[in-house]
Amino acid sequence: MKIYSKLGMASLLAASLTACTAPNSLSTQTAADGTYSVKTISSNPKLVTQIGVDRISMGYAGDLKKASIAIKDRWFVSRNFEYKIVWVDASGFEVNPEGSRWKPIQLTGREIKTVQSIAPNPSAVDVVVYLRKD
Amino acid sequence: MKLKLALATTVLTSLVLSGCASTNVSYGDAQSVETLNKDFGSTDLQMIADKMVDDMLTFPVIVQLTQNRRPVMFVDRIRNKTQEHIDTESITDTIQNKLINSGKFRFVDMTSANALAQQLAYQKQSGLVNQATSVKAGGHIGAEYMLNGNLSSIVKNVGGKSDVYYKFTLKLQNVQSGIVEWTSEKEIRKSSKRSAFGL
Repeated sequence: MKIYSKLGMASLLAASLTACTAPNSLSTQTAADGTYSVKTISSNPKLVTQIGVDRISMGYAGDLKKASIAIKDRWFVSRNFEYKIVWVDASGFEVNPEGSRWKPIQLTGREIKTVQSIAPNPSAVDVVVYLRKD
Repeated sequence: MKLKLALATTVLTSLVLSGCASTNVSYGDAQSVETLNKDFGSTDLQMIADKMVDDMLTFPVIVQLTQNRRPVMFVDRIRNKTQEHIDTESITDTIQNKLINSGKFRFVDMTSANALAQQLAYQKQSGLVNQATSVKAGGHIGAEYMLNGNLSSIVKNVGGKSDVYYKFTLKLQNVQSGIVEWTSEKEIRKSSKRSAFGL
């Protein structure tokens, strides 16, 4: 019984530690008619209370897709976060793997800051935005 | 008994000391944010390249220009006006890589012009190359546009605090007319603070 209890505690500790560093993500899914839906994956519940994507807009620059992402600090204090924008093609494959980087972003309390990204080439149609704590 | 104890202590001590002196090597994420110190680093390079390419490819004139053709350009150089030794060619290499992979531009590489000339001379003049297979001279395409720019910095140190401001400027210039068709800037500010007692 004691072993189960210890194992449970260890798992809980591991889960809580993972939750501290795990990023949250948001991805778009573009339909054939050009409309897109947004899907959010929250693997870090604490981070959800601190930072989130307020809105996302997609458009075109020629035949290259561009995304504008408004990132919001949900707390009243200034914080440092990191974000990464990954472009994927219509089949869900990452375009230019290893080409997307984590970038630092500083947000003052309740601030909404917009970041933009342009597709690496015309085959990229959707984005996956990752957010994590600095 | 004492001898065994002394031996065991020696072995244990040597193990502990060798453990202290061991070198741990691990791979890191090349895409992660690097903040080891305030000097120009990989994250700065990547942020500059991303911003320049994104700005250029979304600029309406450039969008129109690249609609039906892939203009040819060359990279002149980025003048490093900072006090640091920065490999500015690495920045332009990353920018060039992204622009080529976007399918919007083509480049002529001036750094390999001498090597190309040597190879052409070898094919034509050495008498060793079958002329039916040698490439024709005079087929290079002239670049229409030139990329050049500056990287400057302002550094301030007060007490234990240090602040560095980088400004990267890139220009796209029409070789024939001399007109600057596009320009963009990326600013980066980094601060560092010396910790008390090395903590």
